[in-house]
Amino acid sequence: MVGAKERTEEEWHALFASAGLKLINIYAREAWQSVFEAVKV
Amino acid sequence: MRWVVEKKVALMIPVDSPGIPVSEISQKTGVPETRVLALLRQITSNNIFREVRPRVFAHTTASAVLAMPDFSTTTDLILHFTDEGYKAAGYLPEALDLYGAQFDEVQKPELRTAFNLAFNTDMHYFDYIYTPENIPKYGERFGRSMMGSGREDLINSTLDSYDWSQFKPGDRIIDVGGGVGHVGVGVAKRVKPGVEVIVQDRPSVVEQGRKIHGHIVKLEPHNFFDREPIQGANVYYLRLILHDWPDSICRTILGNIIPAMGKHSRILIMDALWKDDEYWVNGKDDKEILERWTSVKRDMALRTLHMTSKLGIPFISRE
Repeated sequence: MVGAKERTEEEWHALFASAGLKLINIYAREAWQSVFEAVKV
Repeated sequence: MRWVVEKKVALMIPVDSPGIPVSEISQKTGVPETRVLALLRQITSNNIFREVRPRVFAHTTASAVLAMPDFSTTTDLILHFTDEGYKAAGYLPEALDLYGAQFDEVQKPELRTAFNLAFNTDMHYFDYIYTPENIPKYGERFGRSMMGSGREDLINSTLDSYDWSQFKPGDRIIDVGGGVGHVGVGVAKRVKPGVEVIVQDRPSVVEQGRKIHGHIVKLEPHNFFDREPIQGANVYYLRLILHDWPDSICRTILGNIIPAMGKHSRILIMDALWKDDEYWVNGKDDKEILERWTSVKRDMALRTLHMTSKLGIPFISRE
């Protein structure tokens, strides 16, 4: 666990969408840290 | 633990020593012998140091690691947790009562957390540690501690999941809030020659980072609460940034980058993916989950043994 404010996949999608971004990929899902790739809508 | 690390008690005991008397540690730390004895006897219950005979202390494997130069940034991380972290943790219930309901709604000037109560300040944690008078104790230590948290094997497993070879000479990759550049260096190793990796952080952090990694990556001062100054970079990545902030403030941080993004720009966030059910263990007699936790514990034990053997420390048990 990384700690602090951890977010589920749905929460990441919602956060990006509310910021004007689209989450297009998630890499390293099983690692300690994952990589979330987003582009501008 | 904080006292042991701050006073560098592990360095006072040679790793291969059969033990030194508590009176010597008392003399070197300036703390009365009876107090030192009480503290060390407490910590030996966690397998950190061992009392080989009454009032004589030697290392265990765990305490010997604290004495290794390669471990120094991790001791900074321990201090970050046991100093700012533990103090703030003591105020968590009050902070939840006072600020919990507004946590995800406010912007940075209004944000209050347990840290504010513990340190009796209205400043945000990062503003507090980077005020000029606090940089030597807190700011620089935080920078080093993030290197301690960024163990190479952990960074590698994340960075290797992404195809960094897709970028061409002339492309730019921006590490927003990248600290002293320890992850930027990992990215620089993975891209083709000519791809520029630029690490951005506060001026004092950039100054610290240039001394460590300035020969590998470019470090430039930038606060991610201001508009991103580099237009049209291929990647803007934020590692372990957004988990420090509520959603309302994350939108501000991301919103400062979006206007700089070009047609081919993307944002990469390196952070935790929370899986609610997988982390739910208590109260559930689930064989698969228990086996997974056993495997995690075994992996941690093996990592510790690997690290100690890499550092040349023999395994020292309490017995």
